[in-house]
Amino acid sequence: MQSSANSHRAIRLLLRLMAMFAVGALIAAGCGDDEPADQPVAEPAAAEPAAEEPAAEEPAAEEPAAEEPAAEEPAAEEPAAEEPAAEPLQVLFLYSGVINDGGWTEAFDIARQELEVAFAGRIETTFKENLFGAELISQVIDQGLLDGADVIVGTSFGQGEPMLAAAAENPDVFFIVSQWDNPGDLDNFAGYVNAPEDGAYIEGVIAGHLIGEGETVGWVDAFAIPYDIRTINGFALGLMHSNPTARVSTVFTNDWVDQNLFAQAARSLVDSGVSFIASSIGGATIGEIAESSGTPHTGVYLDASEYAPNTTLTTREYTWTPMLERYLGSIFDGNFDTSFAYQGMSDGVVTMTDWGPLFDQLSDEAKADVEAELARVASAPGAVFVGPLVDIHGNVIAEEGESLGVEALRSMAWVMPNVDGVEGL
Amino acid sequence: MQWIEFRLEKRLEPPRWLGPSMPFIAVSAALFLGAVILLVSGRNPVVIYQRMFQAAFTNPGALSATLTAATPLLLTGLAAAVAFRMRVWNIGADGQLMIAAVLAAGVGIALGERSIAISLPAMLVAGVIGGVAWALIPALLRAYLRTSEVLTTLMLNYVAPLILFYLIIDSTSYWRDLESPSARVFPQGKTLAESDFWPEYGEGISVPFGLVVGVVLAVLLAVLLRSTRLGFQMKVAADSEAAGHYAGIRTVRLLILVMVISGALAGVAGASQVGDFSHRIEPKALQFATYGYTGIAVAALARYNPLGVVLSAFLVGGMTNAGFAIQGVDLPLGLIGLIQGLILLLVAASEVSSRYRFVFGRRARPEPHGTEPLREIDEQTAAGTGQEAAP
Amino acid sequence: MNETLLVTLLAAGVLYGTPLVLAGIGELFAERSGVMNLGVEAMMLMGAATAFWTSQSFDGPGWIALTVSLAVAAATGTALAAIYAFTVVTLRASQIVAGLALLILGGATGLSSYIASIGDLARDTGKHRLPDYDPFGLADLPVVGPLLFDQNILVYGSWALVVIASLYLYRTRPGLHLRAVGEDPKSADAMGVNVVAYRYAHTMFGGAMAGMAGAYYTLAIAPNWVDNITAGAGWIAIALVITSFWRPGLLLVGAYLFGIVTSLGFTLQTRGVDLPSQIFSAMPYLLTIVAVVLVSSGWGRGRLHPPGALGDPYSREDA
Repeated sequence: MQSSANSHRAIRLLLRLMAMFAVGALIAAGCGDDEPADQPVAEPAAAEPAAEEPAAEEPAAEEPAAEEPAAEEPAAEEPAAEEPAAEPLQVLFLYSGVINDGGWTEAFDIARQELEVAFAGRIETTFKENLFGAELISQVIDQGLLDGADVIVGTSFGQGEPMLAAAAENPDVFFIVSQWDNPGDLDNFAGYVNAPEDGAYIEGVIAGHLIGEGETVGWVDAFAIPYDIRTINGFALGLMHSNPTARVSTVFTNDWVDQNLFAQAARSLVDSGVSFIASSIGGATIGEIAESSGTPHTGVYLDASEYAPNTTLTTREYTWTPMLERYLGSIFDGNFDTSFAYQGMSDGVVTMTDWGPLFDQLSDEAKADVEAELARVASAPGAVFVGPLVDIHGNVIAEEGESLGVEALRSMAWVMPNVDGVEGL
Repeated sequence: MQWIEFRLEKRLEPPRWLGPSMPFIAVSAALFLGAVILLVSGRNPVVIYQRMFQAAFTNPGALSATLTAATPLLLTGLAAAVAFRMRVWNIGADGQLMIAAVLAAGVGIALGERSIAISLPAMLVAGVIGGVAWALIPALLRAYLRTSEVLTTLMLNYVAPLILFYLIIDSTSYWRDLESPSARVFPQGKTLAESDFWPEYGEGISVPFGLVVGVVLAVLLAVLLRSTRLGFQMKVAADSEAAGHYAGIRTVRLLILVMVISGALAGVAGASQVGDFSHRIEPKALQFATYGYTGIAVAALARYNPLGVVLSAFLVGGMTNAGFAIQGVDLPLGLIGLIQGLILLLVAASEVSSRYRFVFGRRARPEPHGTEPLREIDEQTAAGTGQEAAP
Repeated sequence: MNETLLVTLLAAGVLYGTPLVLAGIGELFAERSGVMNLGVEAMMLMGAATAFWTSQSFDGPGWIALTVSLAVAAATGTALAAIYAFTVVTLRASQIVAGLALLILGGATGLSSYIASIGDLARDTGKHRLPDYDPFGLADLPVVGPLLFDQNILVYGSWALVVIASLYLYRTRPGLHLRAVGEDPKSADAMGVNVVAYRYAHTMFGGAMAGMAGAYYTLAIAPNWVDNITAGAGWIAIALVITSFWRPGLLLVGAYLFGIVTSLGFTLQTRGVDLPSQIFSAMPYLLTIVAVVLVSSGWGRGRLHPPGALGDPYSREDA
């Protein structure tokens, strides 16, 4: 039979291929050996750690992947100068998206580049993008450790579990990850998240002043996860502050990447008569729809006035640089803080871009109110969700003057009374 | 039209040296082209290739990582192979895998801390049921309403992740973890009890249980196709529907059976994702992984031969794994995809060359005879191994 | 109210269906010649990237920049399709492996992303955008005005393409030959039709159309770049070719319906229809299945079938 002849041929072919991969790569390996490997850490570090360090805290000795010693120095009294200063700290960023996504990941990659400048010569950064699935991520982490990473920065929730496991096994490598808590027994693991509600609240205040009573704001989102519900609620709270009868109408795309789906969602909102567009989704298309339909809007992640110069009022930018600077600084200083970092506008981690041209349409009182609210939110953390807070079902969330704790904020599943289309829990 | 042409003539007797050297030439060509691209873009190809190889095979843990990457590809590759060689175009292993993962996880969670001897087979069966159920929709539509299974399986691939999103993110379903602190921050599936995690074998190199299952299934499939009545029927029916009818084979039943087997294999892949690796439903990871689509390439590389799929899954798994290892600031994702695509393309293209030879030269336009049996479709490629797509 | 809803839905159908029409007609031609091209998505992304790069690095007047950009996109798609055709027509490689290889090579995590990174496309907003064009001054007509007379050149082009494609397929000699090549290459060859040339030409034409479809994203919908900007539209285009039973007119209807149903899902969400959003997101896919089931089991039964030689390599043994 022909088909079985084909099958045999296929198997032989594949066997040969494998043999060839082996031969070819061995040749490559042979050629490559005489030049200095492009990752400087691997070789010298292997020789170093036992000799160089005061030995007490080197449990990494049994680890085949020798860690880079420069950073790791819990003995805080030791002056940093004693370390081989020539060896920069290797910082590895893990991205769930791609660096050109116009949103979440791109904001992190901008921070990465800014850190390279801020710590010129003292750190070297690299990244892995398009990561998904705990198994793959733990392999990528292993590879990163092999390549000599001293600090690993996770930027999405899905990376937390493999990073926790790796942190326990690699006590002299620092792990900083989005959304996860330190289980309590690790000196090298810290979680963080930003406070998008700080920015969204200001957007809501502006939107409320700009649109008429009883009008609707359209909100485009991907998934109703607590982080996004918190953002929407923050916006709704701001809206309620300046325009108690206005409402937020939400649309969920069930997709993180499809720019045209976002545009279609935004267009449906515009066509259904919303007076304002806001979102939790990056990229240009929502701004494009706003601009071409003349709908005022606010952007997210990266300055939206670039593609919607006339209708963008402001953009809440996620500026991770200050937070990561603090982390890296503390690593250099030997006082790495493992408590959960919940950082917003007062920490410089959420910032608002300059007001757009439509801002001038606001009355002077409205402008003053926006500035006052901005000053209030920027002055102290946790200034947005302060009672009285009541959810859409009438349940009291917080009494007058009571503010929500970090845990309540991070797991937010209740919905503001002026929001339509979010189920919550 | 008087241009210099080259064409392919079938070799009556391929020279001995050519067979073994063709794929060597192909991969060398791909690596060479890749090296040129890397050089032009200012990178050192030797260093990069060296790193790729190390990351795929020789680094500590690299082989385990490659086997891990190969496991789902082996199973979805088998799912594609069994269908495609019957010329049943099941593009839907992706969706079948996801639904299978849901059922397997459901059973695993329900069984709690029973012994693995109960929970593992139960999860496998649940996964098979899920994969078969999702494959039966296009199978029945094709069998009784003549609806193209390419279309239905492709569309159902888009529906399956939405079901996962609903279960984990937008509802308080049985699969969703509503208790643990991390899951309250970010919606997450319930995690299996540790006693339900599937075993791994080997010292140093860990072999996932799913991979063992995959290899066993590959052997079973090979036997089924070669030495059973069913395998014979499939071969006849695949060659020609008319011939199948002649031989008294009920093609409708056969078609459904093939889809069921294919869906079941994808289902095993789904169960293995939960049992071996994630231990819970990870909607986004399953959606982004596109194991089903990659499995088609894996199967096609092996010309839909089950035993060949084992090897090609290993190769493609290594390549995937190496790709993640080398990407970074110096090496953008796009350049890696370019080189991986080149390798795959050239390997696909080279396979044909050992059977044909290039003939350069002028050729007169053929006379439009209608009668001569000159114009036969090449038997080898059209012999019903079902290697190409035809919805 | 209902009339405006209808208009907005139709407008969304045209806006988001147009790239599907362009890429779909291209794929339809390739498949009619017997070549299935699973790499459409890669060709679209490459077209999108090269078109955007060209328009960004072009300082001259807008219309020249846009014309050149569209030409570059078409040329890019053609070039990729030529490579593909060489692999599967001349070398007779498996169309599935070659198509998927092309997808990896040029797709979201392949060359298109690399081109974007060397061109630094993601950092810039578009300088040029395809303008809407009202040839007869009729854009103010109610309902049909904005739909029919206020579109950009690619939309008008896609309509012309559908008409020409139908005429070509069913009313011309080359069209007849094309169908013969896809249906039964042996007989076509016996009739004196150059099977290889037909397959090359139509696959490459398909590539050109896919490139233009990609350009539609970066020059018409929102002039900017993010990786994977087409987000799987190439697969939908392939599905539409099947859905339309390889007929250009039906393909246009299918593509617009797909856009309309997607949009309708969002509209229903905004109107407070209280269902999980996943149901709305699944609607376009489920309705596509329903439509094909109805057609293939009803009117189209026995009448509509794929090109007989789709996916089969062809070789004439004249040794």
